[in-house]
Amino acid sequence: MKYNSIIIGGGLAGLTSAIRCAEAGLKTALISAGDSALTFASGSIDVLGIRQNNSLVQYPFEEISHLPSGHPYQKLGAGQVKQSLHFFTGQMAKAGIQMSSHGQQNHSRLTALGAIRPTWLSQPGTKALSIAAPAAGLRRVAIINIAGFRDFQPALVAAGMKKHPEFAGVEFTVADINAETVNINARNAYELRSLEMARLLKRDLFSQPKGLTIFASAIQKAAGNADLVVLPSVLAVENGNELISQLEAHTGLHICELATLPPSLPGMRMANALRQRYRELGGLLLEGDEVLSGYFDNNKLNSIKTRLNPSMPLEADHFILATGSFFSRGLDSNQSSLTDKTFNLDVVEAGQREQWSNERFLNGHQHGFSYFGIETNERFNPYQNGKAITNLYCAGGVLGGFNPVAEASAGGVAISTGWFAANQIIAQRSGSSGTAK
Amino acid sequence: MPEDELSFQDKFITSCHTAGIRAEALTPKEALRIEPNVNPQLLGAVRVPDGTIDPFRLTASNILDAEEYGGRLMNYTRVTGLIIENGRVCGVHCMNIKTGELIDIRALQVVNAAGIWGQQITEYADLSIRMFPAKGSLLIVDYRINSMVINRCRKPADADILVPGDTISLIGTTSEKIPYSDIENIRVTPNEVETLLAEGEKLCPIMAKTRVLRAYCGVRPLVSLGDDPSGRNISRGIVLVDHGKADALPGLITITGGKLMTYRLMAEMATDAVAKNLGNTRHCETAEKPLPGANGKNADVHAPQVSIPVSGSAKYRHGERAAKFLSDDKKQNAIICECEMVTRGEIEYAVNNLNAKDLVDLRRRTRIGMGPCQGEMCSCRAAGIVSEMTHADNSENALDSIGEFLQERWKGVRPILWGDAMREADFSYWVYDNLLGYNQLQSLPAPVSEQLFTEQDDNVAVEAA
Ligand SMILES: Cc1cc2nc3c(=O)[nH]c(=O)nc-3n(C[C@H](O)[C@H](O)[C@H](O)COP(=O)(O)OP(=O)(O)OC[C@H]3O[C@@H](n4cnc5c(N)ncnc54)[C@H](O)[C@@H]3O)c2cc1C
Repeated sequence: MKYNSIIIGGGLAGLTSAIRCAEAGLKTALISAGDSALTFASGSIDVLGIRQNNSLVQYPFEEISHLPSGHPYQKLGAGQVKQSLHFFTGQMAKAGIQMSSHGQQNHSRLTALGAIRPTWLSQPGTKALSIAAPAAGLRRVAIINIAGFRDFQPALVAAGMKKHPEFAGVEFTVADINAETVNINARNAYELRSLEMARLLKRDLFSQPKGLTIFASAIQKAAGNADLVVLPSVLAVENGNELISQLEAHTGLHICELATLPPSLPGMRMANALRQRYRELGGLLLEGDEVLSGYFDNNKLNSIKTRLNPSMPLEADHFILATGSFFSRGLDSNQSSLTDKTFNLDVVEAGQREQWSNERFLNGHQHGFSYFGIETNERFNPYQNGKAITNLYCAGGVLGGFNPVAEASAGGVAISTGWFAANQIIAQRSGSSGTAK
Repeated sequence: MPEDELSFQDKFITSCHTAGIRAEALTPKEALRIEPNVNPQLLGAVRVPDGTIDPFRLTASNILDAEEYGGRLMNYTRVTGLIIENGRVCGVHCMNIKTGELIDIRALQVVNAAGIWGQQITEYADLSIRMFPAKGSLLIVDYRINSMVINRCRKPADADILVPGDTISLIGTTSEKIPYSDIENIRVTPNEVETLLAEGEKLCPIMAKTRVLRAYCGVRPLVSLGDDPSGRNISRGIVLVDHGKADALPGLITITGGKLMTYRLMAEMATDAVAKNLGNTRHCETAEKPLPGANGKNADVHAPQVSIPVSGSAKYRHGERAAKFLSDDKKQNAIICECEMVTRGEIEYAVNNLNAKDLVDLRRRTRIGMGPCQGEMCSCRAAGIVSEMTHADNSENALDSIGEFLQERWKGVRPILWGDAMREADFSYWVYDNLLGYNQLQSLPAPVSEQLFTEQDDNVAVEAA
């Protein structure tokens, strides 16, 4: 079986490039080993939010030119980054999620520890706060937990928000809606994870005729006359954004959902939407399989061997490697060195192990390991033993040369590099179709 | 092992017998039947009575015992000087290292049991007890490889003992003389990690495939008696000094040296000396009375609503005292730390009864965050409970203690940062810095004098004598 393009890795970068390829009519296969980083991502897309000195970036696209030269954004330029995000927003809309931004500006999202973190694109259920004045218009905030849910701590959200000087004058109330009020019947409601809670709420509450009204009045009771109601994101995976807006209509309150400790429902919602969009476009999705190795010839990748089909290599004209960082197993390390597990491509020089990380875990400075990844040329082709592999592209977290966490750029880099790789493939095909065949 | 001298085995058995310790030679086959993960290349084996202690439980039980007898624990309080009046020690000057508050405590007798820091305490009175700091490092692996302690049969050396504990095994230890001025800045070095791994694999080859969870090091408070650069041959003997007799400074007693194994005897010796000075003639009952939680066999705990792994873990950690929190209440039974099976009830018990004021304390009383995930999920959950239980204005402390807790875990992870540990660290970093935005909350100033009180944390003091 031969494809035009095979994409390895089903995270944000892989899905974006797969959608782009499939939409352009390429015969595309996407191989994905398991859940991606989206399972614990906030569900907002960061483009570039924090400078090295820890100050916040207001205009991310303008900031791109200040980045060091090896940075993926520098290879693309602000124009392509913008185009890719435009493409992404369009695809999300087609899959039913209307992402929003504050124009060219970043906005702030609230986190489950009450922190204010810069981002660029958010789902409707996330109330985007102004980056310059996050507390504008807020006098009373109600933080409400549901059924003693273990992975959300309202008191900590309040404490975190209070640390921000902007929220100094804001009054906080903390409340719990108990399991009986929302009719859920679990073995132990206090032990549910976000996804299990969403399933139970669907089964026991929201699928009942009066479910929404029951929940809406419980919120009203708990929230009083708050200007903003903060809930853990446990209400629903599919159509979660619609559910929030229905609740807003019912209660007349402004409701904001926060991604909880993993799994994160807004992130999963985004992953589901993208997968659905890719399938609609006729793409082949091979889930639960894993690429074990590749057959390289003449600086090209010809075929790949997967765990489920070891005797039947998959061939393609072009490949995109989007296997993510260490946690996704895109990168691996042993006592002394780093590797890309799949193909043994060249990685960014890592130095001594002592330099892979900082002495303090969370001090606002990036860890070396977060910066590490595969080295690529201007077209995002990786190298193997110093030689560029011309029909293979790398995208997203597997790339080296940027600091996804510290600079708040992970989503933007995944989308733009995935989109760019797909464009390269599309351009080559349309260029070659007239001549070769 | 083939590289060790077989003749040592006979000498070892004879010496054990001379000391009155049972010791029986086993064939390699017998040894492998008892401990299947042992290196099959072994040439012989000796079985001796040996055991392990859970240092966390031991500490918590001692605190509880002392408080039940009317004592008071002042945690996070550092002695900054001795109160000396008319040629007599009458108490100590202290500082609460969390609040900076200065406190004087007066007493008829002061006992200096400050371990390696004992030298500093005596220096406050211009006395000198010369401590001999010997740093020891060990690795904790994420799997219980062995069911009983396995030792190399040779003269004590680096990484010659594999000790099972609850759900893990640990390979230890190294011994390295360090300058006294370094005792607060110790860390596990890459060389030590390499030695521990290489030697550990010789004991049980499966270690090569087992994930290393974290590294730990501590300082043995030995009293300098000889001139041995490694500290291996220095006596681990108990040193009791009544400074009234030794230095004509009554009111102060120093107890140090020894081993964890001998701590009750050391306590008894020190208490007897205090009692004698106070004119109290009652005999010490330390050796006769079990610690709280140690009456297990006589007082079984019923917990029908709780699953066996949960009640088992609770009893493992608290003995019969687990009955104080194992309940029929769903909220209390909710598992907060899934790696170590710690319930909300156990956390509340530790906060209410065991002096746990924040996450770092809580870990030492309950083992939260000590499992494979190193506190990723449970630290937020537990912080939420602590802030809920204490009053509302403690939330900020609870929030801060998440960072301290993760930092404290990080110290142990950094030396072994590769493979699965790297994956886990990457994941935690994403969750805390990206998803939860922890860095946006604060620039995390280091608490006053954090070193002194955190380096000794994991006192996994289980090296066989
Ligand atoms: C790696 C390692 C392995 C070991 N293995 C074993 C083993 O297998 N078996 C065994 O029996 N023993 C073992 N030991 C030895 C044993 O753990 C120690 O000898 C024993 O724990 C020492 O107890 P201690 O109470 O004297 O001192 P510590 O446990 O050091 O306690 C001293 C306390 O005093 C406090 N303190 C210090 N200065 C001040 C001050 N100014 N104000 C207030 N408080 C202060 C400290 O914070 C600390 O809590 C090992 C030790 C190490 C380091």
